[in-house]
Amino acid sequence: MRTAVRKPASRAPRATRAPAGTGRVKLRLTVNGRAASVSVPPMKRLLDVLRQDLSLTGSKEGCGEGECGACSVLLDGVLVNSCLVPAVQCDGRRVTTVEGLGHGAALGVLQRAFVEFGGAQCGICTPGMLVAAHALIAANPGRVPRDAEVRDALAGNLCRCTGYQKIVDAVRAAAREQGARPSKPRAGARAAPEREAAPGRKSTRGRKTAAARARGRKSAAERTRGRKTPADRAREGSR
Amino acid sequence: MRAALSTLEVVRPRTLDEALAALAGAHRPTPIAGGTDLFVYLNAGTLADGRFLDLGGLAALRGIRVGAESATLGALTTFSEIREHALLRRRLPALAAAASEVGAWAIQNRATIGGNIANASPAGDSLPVLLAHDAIVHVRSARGAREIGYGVFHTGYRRLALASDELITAVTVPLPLRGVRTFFRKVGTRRAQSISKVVFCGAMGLDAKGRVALVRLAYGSMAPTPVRATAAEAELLGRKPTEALAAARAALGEQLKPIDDVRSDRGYRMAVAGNVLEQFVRVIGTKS
Repeated sequence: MRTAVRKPASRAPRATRAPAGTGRVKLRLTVNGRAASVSVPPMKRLLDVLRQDLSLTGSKEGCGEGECGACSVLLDGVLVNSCLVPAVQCDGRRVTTVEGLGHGAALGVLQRAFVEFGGAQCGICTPGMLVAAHALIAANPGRVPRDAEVRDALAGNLCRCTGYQKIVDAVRAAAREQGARPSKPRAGARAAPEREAAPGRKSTRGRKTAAARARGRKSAAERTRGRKTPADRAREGSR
Repeated sequence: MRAALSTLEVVRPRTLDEALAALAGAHRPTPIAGGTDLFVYLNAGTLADGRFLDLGGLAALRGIRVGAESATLGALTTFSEIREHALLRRRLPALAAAASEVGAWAIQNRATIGGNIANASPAGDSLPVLLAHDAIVHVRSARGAREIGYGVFHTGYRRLALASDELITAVTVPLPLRGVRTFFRKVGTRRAQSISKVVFCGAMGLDAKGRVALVRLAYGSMAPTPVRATAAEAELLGRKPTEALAAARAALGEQLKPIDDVRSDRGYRMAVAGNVLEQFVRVIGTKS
């Protein structure tokens, strides 16, 4: 038997009701590795808490109904649509937004790959795409996800510009690059924020870009294409 | 609409008993788990409820237990947990398949099986699976507990046989009997993140002569509730499935009267329902 508990909610400090009449709760969160405290209405959307109370405007609102993925963030390392999460359920939890994937102006490996491959065009879907892709890579340490796996993982993130292929290529290139220099995941962190050297610490001159490397390499998807998902198996009537 | 969110209250019970007491009280709160349906209504301004019961802290509603004959899933079990559960994938492949086709990852990480049942949509992706497997819903109130077959639990369009003080705590899904094979198929506008135009779960077992000994055909998005295509099942029962296919398909058309709506129309739905039945019979009925 496997228990389904990811993190017992009882361990989290409980939201306490603010003085009667204010209709607010005080929440303590860890956002992108930093402790934060906010006093907000309990059903305020996590997206609005991030954008309005914490001034983290990287996460976007596209549809407000969990269809587009522009508001994707990680909650305790798990990908969620922040437009569908009430603030009160975030008390005591870790939130990672797109702002947590880089270091100020320095881009992370994944972000750089999006730039190099043209995976970021108009930019509205990009923060959510990056967070969802980050969750995929973090869940597969040292392994480059297959093309189909990337498409499955990003299926909830809609993009109107790229036709998706450039995004898929960027994600796989970033996974390849991180696999070559695996960053040490923190214990228990399913999707810890990227920790990589800022440009300048090491000369990048003469190094091939992720895109250049990918162009010179055969796709791993060729070898593994045709592997089945549970849905495929069910369609074939396996039991 | 957004501003309205700031006026909503949330009750946060620490135990199931506290939750049930809140539901039995005068000002009944609306239970919220993953919020993937409720927040759609809240964001759209179509939900008038002002008070919510956050189930997130209730350990009693969590956990997956797979026994020799059935699997019991706590109401707060997410579709990700179902999708990633190795034993469930083996023993209840149709449920794992349905879980992997609900929305996309971010939705699967939050949406719960209990919520899918409680939302009582005719298009809920896991619901035909529950129907085809003769699942049992566990509900509790301060008055006591009861178990009710899913087929009689979902009584009408967004209506359940659930009293206002009752909470769905778990669902038990019998494992398919030896020799019974199952099949799941969702048809939407795109593969992920779409609401079903037609969703189907079938189960079939053949006797030694290749005749149908057990069959369940369960459809979603074809009626006000998920529905068993009992007339088509009757055509298949006792016959070789491929030989009975045409009659079963015709019976489907007699029994099911899907509607035209924003997602699809009646003609398309009927054609797809028949095609999916045919796919099921050909994939499963020809193997033994």
